[in-house]
Amino acid sequence: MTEQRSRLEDLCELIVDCKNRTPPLTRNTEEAVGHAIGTPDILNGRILLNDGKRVNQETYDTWTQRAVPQAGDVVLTREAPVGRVGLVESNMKICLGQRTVLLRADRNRVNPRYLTYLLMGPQVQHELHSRASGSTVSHLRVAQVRELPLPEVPPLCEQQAIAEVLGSLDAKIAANERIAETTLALAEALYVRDSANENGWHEAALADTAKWMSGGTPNTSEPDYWDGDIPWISAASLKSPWLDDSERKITGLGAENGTKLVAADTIVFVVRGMSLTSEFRVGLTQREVAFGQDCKALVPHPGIDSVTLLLALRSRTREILGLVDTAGHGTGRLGTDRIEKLRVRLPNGDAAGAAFTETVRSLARHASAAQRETRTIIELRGTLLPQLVTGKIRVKDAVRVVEDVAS
Amino acid sequence: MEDRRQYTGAGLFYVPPTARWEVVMERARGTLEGQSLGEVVNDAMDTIEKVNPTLRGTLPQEYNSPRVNETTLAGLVKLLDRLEFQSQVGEDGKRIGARDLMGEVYEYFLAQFALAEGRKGGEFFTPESIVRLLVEMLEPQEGERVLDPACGSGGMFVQTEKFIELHDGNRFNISVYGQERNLTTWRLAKMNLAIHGIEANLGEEPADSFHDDQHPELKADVVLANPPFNISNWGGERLGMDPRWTYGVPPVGNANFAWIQLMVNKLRPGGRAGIVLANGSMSGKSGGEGDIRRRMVKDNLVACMVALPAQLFRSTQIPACLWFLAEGKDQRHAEWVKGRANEVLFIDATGLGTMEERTLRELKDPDIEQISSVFRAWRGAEGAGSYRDVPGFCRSASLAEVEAHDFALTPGRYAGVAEAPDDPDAESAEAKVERLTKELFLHFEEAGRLEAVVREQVKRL
Repeated sequence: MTEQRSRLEDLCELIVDCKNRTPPLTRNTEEAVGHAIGTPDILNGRILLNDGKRVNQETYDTWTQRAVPQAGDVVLTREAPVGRVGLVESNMKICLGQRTVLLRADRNRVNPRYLTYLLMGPQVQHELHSRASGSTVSHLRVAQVRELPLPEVPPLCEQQAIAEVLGSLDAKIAANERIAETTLALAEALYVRDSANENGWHEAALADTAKWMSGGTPNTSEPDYWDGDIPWISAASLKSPWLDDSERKITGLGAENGTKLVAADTIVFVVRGMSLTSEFRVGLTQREVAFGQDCKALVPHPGIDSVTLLLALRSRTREILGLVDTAGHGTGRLGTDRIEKLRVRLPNGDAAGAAFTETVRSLARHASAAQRETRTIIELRGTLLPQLVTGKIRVKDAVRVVEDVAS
Repeated sequence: MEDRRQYTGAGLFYVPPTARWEVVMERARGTLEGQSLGEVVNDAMDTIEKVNPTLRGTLPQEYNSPRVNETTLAGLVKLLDRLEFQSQVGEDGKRIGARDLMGEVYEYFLAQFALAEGRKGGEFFTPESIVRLLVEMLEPQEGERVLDPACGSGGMFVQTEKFIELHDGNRFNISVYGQERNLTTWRLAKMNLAIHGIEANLGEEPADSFHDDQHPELKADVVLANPPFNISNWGGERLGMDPRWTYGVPPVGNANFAWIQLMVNKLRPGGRAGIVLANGSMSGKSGGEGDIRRRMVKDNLVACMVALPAQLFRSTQIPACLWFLAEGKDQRHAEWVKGRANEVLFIDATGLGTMEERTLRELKDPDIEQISSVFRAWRGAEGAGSYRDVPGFCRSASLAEVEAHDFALTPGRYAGVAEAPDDPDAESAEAKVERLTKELFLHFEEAGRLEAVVREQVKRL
């Protein structure tokens, strides 16, 4: 087989650099017409609009002067970090934030979704990172992006098959995330609606609803304590309300030395750290976990439902953030003496209360299950992607089609 | 006006004929023989210093060195000649005609210098909006003595003078005292004040306010400062029990409460002070700081605390706050905050300001007005209207309440949380539940369909 490697620009109709200036914030009073996409908004082939900066018409027009991003375009990051890729979907109105490049596939040669996966594949990522240079942060010049060598691409119908397989997983991941978000939002709305009732609900100080526990960190220089299978929850890993995993895990031995274990159905929230200056991170354990000293754990007393207590806390986020003090050098500190006085509304132990509890618990179970399923799909996708774009695994019927065409 | 006394009286500085711009210009044009341009400029600087004692030791005299290119210097002189620096002062001491262009140019360069120096720039430059807020809160009056014991380049004085002028006072009729430890910054301050026509006493020499007070006899009406935050190398161990530590010996490892007490000590009875400090000063307890704070509150010294929004400083990301102290607030001589003995006003301004750059916020005029008008109303200033607590923004708390909070002075604790604005278009709880339920069922359907798609797709492998 002849080694006829193509370059990225050979497969693209258009390669356009961003404006390399930060688009101005839209003021509250202005109407936002779209989003400016920066490097944090691009992840694993997807463009995430949630945190994208909203822009007004004037900014949008200025920032899309060189090209208006359209469905099927691919955004590649050139710096901080190098090599993230996201596909523009049909419902998106975006312009490019700093350090990104817009690629428009030549559809006669490459399927846009396939191009996205190809760029995420190990060979291209290796090329991207080995070319990136810079004294403080590594970055790619636009010329380097244009000249990026690509592995040989399969025929279009095979590209399409690969794009379909991986695309179906991506679509399911996105659907699960929406389910998890909506389920939680619904449970919160139910809590707000029902807890406003005078009858059937009562008030209690948070201090009296649960057993309060403080966490800790097993000695980090003791390898026998770390890299086990017990999640160790800290402010950094408390990003979802359903706590069943963390980047850092400890061993059984670690759990006995310097930290605390709590069972499933325990509430864990952050009481120290930078995150407290803008958000209140709180979650419910889905399995046995350990937790760090920047968190507190509440084991609800008998008769008090953990999901309801979680919703009670989440519905009071604004007030809780108002209790946060600034410790030296700007980190936030939520004093136990202050948050334990918070009065929360809880359902009485009657039939109506039990019905409410059952409803929100089922919603919580569903959200948590969707999150677990998503993790499995992400793992599957991560395994398949390199295999598919390097041709080590092939999509059977697509191969058949190719053979049919060839014969 | 050739009479020198005419100048000194008005707070300006006198430029003798041989040091005037025309002479420099003539040399730059090449019509004056003899001296090099560098020598002419040096001589002019020297002459100006000689006849204006306030400028002694501040003007650079390095223009006749091989490092300065004569042609470039001539070009610069010609360029400057095209600008018109005019500052005219009328009989009553107020400006007439052209604006104080030279002062503004100097301020501009100071700001640019601070910007270029980045972190280090903090030493001599406090963001203008903070200085303005301090001055608007303290309202220095004509005839008062104003002290800044950590004066940097003198920004506090420039704003003080502007404030007095804006409020129809005679800006030359205040006495300004400052002190600054760093030689270069001290010189910048002298020049800054001279250019703005402010007569100031910055002490005999650059000196440390803790160890070499340049104004030992002074009792000021207004003391204001933005001292360096949280410094540990202030030599506290050399002072030990100092008479200035009225409320307790500050910890050697942090000078915040040493600054506060030093400033309190400089107040005349009934005087007032405003200080910019790091947020840790409001609730920190290490090294006895909690005790000092408690005694200050109990002694009725603290009038108002303002929590500032983050990112106001270019030189540091540490969030800061303002302390306002009223000597004798327990009505011994409390004309400033009459009727507010045993109360402290807490203002949580953390939500104010506008992002000017990605990492820099600025307090705008309406923000400064919002904060200072609340304080004016609280302290019963004339024509300021009546004071009301605003949840989430300001609250007047009793000393008993402050005690209940263990003497932590963080405004957020007292001001509470803003009431959610009543939005007539807001969704009712019922409608929200209904909408989300529908949405969720649609997601379920979609997820079910996608599940089937995934099953099919994976089978193809």
